[in-house]
Amino acid sequence: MFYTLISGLHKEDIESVSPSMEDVGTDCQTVAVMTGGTEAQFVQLLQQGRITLDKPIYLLSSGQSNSLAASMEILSYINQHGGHGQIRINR
Amino acid sequence: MVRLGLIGKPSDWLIASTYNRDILASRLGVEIVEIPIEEVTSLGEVENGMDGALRIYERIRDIVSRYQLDGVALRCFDLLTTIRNTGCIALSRLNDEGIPAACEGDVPTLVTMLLAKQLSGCPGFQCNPARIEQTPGQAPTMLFAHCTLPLSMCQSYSLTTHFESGIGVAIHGELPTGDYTLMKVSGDLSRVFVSEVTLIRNQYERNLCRTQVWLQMSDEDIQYFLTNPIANHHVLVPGKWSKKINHL
Repeated sequence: MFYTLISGLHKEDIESVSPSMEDVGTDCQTVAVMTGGTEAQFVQLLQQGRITLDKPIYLLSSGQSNSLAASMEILSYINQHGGHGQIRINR
Repeated sequence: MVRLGLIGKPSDWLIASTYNRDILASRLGVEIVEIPIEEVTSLGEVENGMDGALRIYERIRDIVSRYQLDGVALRCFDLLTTIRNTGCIALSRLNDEGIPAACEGDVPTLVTMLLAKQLSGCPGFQCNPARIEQTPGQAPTMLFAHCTLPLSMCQSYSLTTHFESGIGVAIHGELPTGDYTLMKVSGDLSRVFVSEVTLIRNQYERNLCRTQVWLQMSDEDIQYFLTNPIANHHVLVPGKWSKKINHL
């Protein structure tokens, strides 16, 4: 599963995040956190059952637009709620 | 009791930055005083530049006095759509006056700044992790950024607009290179992160919050940030304080 999160708070050009083939495999849960302000969108994905805390969640992050900050807030939430995740930096 | 004001609710994106009111009171003697954001937004639309930013400061300073606050966290993004200016100057001034002041209604970060001030005399720079660089054979570095900080931490500064909104008055500060402590306390006091880091350079890029600093740190620190951070905001304080913090 692969999801992309982006917030309208950010009006600047957004750096793209390139998933690997591994990231988009059906056994993976990968979320590209393109900008800050996307944390509530992640919670929605959980509430809708599109992502589960029962499997690892990988957060793809860029070095722009508060992507990394949002990824850390989301990862902290995952850990607080019994899940497991990791941030992967987009190269 | 130490009275910390929360003006407005915490920002909606702070999904992992909750706090435990009872633990903060019993273990730290901290009382969270909830104040409606309307006490600031009732200013109405102000001038977009420094005059407007100073009116916001005066309003928040008045709130601090009336409620007898020892620190304050502001739901600052609400000001963008109502007052059409930012709280960056207000929060900077309050921090310089010895009143820890945090952005985005982030209570755990405000508590961290309170502890930083009590230990070091400086409430510190509330900042977001923005970028990580890992080069084989070299110590890793991380870029941290935010739109406001105490001017007393800067060797120079300039004023510009707030990053996400492009309005208001924010601060691009240049900090002295050297030894700093990066810290964060969780809102239930169950976790503490503290690491002595080296500020190696300042930079300025347009697509980031306005004050931007590169910190050299350990591989263990990077693993903490990539696998188990205490939310996103951390506080950067001049000097080496890990021994004192660990002693607490």
